[in-house]
Amino acid sequence: MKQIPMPAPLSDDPDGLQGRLRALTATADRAVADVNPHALARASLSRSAELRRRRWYRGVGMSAAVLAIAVVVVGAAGLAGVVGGSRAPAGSSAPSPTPTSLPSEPSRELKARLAALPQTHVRLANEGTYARLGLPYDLSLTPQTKLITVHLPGGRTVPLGAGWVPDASLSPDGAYAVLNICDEEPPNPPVQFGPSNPGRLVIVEMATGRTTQLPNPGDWALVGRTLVLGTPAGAPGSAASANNHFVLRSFPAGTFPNGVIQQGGPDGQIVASSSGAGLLLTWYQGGTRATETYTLYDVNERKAVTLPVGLSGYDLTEMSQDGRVLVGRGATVWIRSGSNVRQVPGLPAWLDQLDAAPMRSDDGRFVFVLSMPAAPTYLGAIACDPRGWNGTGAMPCARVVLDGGVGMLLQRLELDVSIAQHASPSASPSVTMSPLPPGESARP
Amino acid sequence: MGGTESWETEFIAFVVARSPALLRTAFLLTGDRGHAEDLVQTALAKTYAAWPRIRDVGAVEAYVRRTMLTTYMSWRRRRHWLAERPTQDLPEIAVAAGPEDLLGGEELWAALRGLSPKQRAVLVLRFGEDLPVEEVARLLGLPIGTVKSHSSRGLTALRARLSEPASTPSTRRSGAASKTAGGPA
Repeated sequence: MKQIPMPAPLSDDPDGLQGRLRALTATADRAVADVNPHALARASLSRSAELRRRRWYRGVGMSAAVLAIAVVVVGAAGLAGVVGGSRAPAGSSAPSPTPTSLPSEPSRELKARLAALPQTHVRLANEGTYARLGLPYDLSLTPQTKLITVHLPGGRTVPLGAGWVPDASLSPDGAYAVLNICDEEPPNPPVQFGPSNPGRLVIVEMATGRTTQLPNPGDWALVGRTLVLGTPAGAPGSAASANNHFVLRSFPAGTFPNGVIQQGGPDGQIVASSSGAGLLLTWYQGGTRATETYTLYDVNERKAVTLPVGLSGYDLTEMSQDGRVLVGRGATVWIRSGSNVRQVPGLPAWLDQLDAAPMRSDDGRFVFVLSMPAAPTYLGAIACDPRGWNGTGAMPCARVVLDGGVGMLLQRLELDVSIAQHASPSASPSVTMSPLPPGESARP
Repeated sequence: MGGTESWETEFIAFVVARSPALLRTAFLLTGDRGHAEDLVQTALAKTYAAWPRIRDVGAVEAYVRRTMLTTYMSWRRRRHWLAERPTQDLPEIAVAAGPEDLLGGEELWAALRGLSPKQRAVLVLRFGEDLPVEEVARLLGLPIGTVKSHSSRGLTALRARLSEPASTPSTRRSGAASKTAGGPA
């Protein structure tokens, strides 16, 4: 067998481990050797712009919009040259509307529409849970490892060791809290499949402070008093490694810490959950689009509704607390009734001009962080309320005051922009990234 | 040539020239070809969005790499994104069992997978990419002391893993399954 020489051990590498790490690059090179760089470039361009272009054109009305788009594009190109430090050659003509020539700055009309919305305060999903449990809420990329202590209703506290908490849930009746605690130490025993640092799940009985914990959790959600646990993704032995098999661990009175364990739920990935209504939205990834399935599962009744095929992965990303309104990427809205799903406008039409990633607030509203399609220019956030909305017209929306978790999130998102500034020392300091209304700041 | 077309041309030229190196780093970080492609593609898409703002073409790669690293660590943190979504048809990966595999490569990959994202990122950049500590710190946005600490702890953890007696996958699977199924710790 032909021998490939191993790197010689370095002076500070007595056992050759660093050399072995270097040698892994050869394996990595071979693993990705057949990736077509042109296809990668095109896919990246497409991912960056194509979806935005479709959203930009959709709903605007092509015939009426051509002039408006041209005006905006010309305006944006001029503005980018002045504000954004464009690398476009001086005197170059404004490009025609292509997937990559979308406005990078909001139009005056768009700013006016945003400014005209009433203001509201929101807490992001589980932000209230963190507050009730006395946990640090940290959305930064590099969370601080701290001593985690849960505050019980009676004023007692339960220490849970050091780490950071990427997710926490509280049952609607306040009886049980579930915390995912991660730390810098590698999991023990080692995780061979799934995420390398899943941490541990700690379940706390809030009346007594008793705890039980599960190392190396997979996908999970607390739905009512039932902890839905997915097998760690990718584990061999599952029928299809893309999809979880769920275990339901319920805690009726007197069953803590073991609870009542049952197999259940549709196989798939957890997309969204509603603890109050006992609902779980999952997505089953099949081999083809036709076999991809969204399922709405009633955890308490053990009943499932399969939504019609045709919705592919990531089409749906959130649902209302009652499972009636579903939203997806690109600020798309569906109304569900039984197993019927129909797409409706649901949101202000001008949202089509923006990137708007949906998430849910603590009180059940949808929160959309807004940014320009062609640049990471964050315009703030709006909250749209599906509660009591009958599916006609647009949900009532309000502009979110950027404090608390939303402020942290905006700050986190702006890191991408600061990365550009770090990477490019010559970048103009005059780049304006957050044209927020006067008096507001993205910083909490 | 219009500005946007020029940017596209520059961007494609950049990707063609640098994608092998970027993919290699991404593969070392994720240990999976599909995830590596997704990671690079995500970073490139973000980079293209900021292309007009990056005046110094020489800084593009640093931008992509930093975006890739922050995206990688972000993926690890956010539960919804943690779920792996491989397809049923596994891609044909042209990775035969090479000499380094025979010399403990598989164990090393498994041990790397057990590290925290930051430790893994530090080791990949420091030893896989052979970058100086200062450059690793700059890319990860961490103090130099923290990088050294992650490097030292990561190597220690790797050594500990590699010195453990080998266990069969089935043993590990059943262990993980029983823990997932419940029971007080």
